[in-house]
Amino acid sequence: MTGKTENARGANGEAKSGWRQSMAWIHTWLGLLAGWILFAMFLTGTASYFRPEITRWMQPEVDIAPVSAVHAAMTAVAHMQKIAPQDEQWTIFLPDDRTTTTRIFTRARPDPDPKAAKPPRRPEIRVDPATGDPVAARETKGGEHFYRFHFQLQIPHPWGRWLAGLAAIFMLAAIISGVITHKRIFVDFFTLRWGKGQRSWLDAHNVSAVIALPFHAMITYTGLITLVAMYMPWPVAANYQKPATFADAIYGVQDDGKYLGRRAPLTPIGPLIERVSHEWHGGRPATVIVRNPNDAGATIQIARSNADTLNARGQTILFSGSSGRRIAASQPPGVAIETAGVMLGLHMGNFAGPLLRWTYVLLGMTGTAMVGTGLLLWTAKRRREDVKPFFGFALVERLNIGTVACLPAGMAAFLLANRLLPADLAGRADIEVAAMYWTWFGLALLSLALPVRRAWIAMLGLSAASFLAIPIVNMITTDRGFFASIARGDLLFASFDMVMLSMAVLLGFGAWRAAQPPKQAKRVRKPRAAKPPIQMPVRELTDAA
Amino acid sequence: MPLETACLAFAGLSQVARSSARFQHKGSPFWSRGGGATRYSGIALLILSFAVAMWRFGPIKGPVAWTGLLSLSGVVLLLLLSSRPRLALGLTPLALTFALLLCAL
Repeated sequence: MTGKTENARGANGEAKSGWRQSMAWIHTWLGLLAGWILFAMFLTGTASYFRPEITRWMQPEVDIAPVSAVHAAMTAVAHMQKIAPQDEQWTIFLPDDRTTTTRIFTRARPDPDPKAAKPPRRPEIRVDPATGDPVAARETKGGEHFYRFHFQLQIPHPWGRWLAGLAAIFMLAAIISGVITHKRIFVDFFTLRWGKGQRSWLDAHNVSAVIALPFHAMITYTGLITLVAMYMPWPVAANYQKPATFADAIYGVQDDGKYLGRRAPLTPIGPLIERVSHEWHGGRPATVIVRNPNDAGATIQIARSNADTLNARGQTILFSGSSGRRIAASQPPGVAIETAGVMLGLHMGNFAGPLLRWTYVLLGMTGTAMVGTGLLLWTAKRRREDVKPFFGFALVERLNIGTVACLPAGMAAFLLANRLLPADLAGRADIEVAAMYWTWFGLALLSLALPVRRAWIAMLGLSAASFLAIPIVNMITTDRGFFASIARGDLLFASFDMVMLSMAVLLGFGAWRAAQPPKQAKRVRKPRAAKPPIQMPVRELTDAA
Repeated sequence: MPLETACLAFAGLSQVARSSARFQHKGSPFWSRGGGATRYSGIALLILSFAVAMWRFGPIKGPVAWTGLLSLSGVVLLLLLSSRPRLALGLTPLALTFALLLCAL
């Protein structure tokens, strides 16, 4: 090999090293800055894959047997005919395998006088799909709270979504820079060493990132793309005078139905439901929108469930509400809309059956672990026992405790409040939500009074105890405790208790590990000259951390 | 529950892990000896798990399901490897048997 070639390779190697160092810097700081928000987004987003199930658990009074979509639609329309026959619009969400009640939103007809105030928004109506009778259940936000929080962060619109989007952009950049930084990505695929201090945190961060990398990349990118029109409104603004024109162009013009003021009975809904199911080759209807009911200009729009397709944007068919005549159907979407729908579907996972939904949840937990271990690695790398921590280090350490150890306690408090607050308490849904934040931030503040190690142990221990309390409180306050649920064959409530116990064990394990005296990392043996073992990339340690 | 994809992916990944020098030791059964054959058998099992995912979940959901279940199998294998490596690598025949049973049902 000539000296010239060696020099060229050396220069090339240094350039690559410099590039990798830059990526490591980006990975470290973008990951750290967005880490606490991302941890909360990942954890609550993961929980929201069981959004309907959490809502059902939070309304234990509701115990309804499933009925057909035809029957549910008929009872819902009959109920609305009784209570609001002259409203402008009924939106009926039919029950499915995961949601047992029929949910209805109704909108009053506005006063034709332009000076008149807008009619107030009506609360959601829940009816028993078998009988059409209103369902009496405790007021709660249910799983919807975790779902909304994971992209709105309980911050007023649009700032919460903007902040979540910024965190997602940081996450995407951290994923790409992390892949570039981690040059032994396949060699380290099976490497997870426990009890070795900083190296263990690095291993845990690497493997949780690498093993589920397709999921992390997919969930981050699709999450970002879902709200891209909000984050980047300028292409739409440059090409369309009004956002509504853009919506019409991509989704097709919606026939809102004209109110004619001539009374005409609403056509029976049952045959229409049967007809769309047949037209969709067994596809299940999910939503029925009745505009101007009992008027000659009434329309009925039926939307298809997306539970059996990757595309989250389902098809619709529009009928005349007075004659039952088929007026129109949604056109097959263009490639861009189809792609956007599939991305949304991939992110939300509505297409997933039980196995794939659990896969989503467990991979979401892996993502949460990836973010959490990344945050802990930052402090593990910079911790010096003999030196007083600098302000930034102390701040990061306290924020880590406040997020990683205290947020789970807040989520448990939300569920516990659901059982402990009186079922008929006014405004209890908001109090449940407040309980989550008071617990989360209260514990984070309390942890400041404790030394770091003790704060980790105490907060993780409290979180574990909170999750452990959920099945116990559920058993005491309802007749749907674990053993009763097993006896009745109620898998949802029994599984919920098992998941809470698993969370308690996981957090308890974390508290126990934090309570162990810190081990000194063993010295790395020098590589043998003849046959070196897998070399521990010291530089990589520095880079990735 | 169509778990055979996960079982085959677990078996495939454990074969690939076994082919790594780190997990080889004396007295291992024949299927756990490292080398190219073990690695190729692992890759073959991963391809088979993909085919089974396509069969079970269809051509649209199949690749999504396979990617997710493969990752999940990797998480389980890794947690086992980090604490009980011999047990983790010894589960390959069991995972294969379970996959065959599930496919036959």
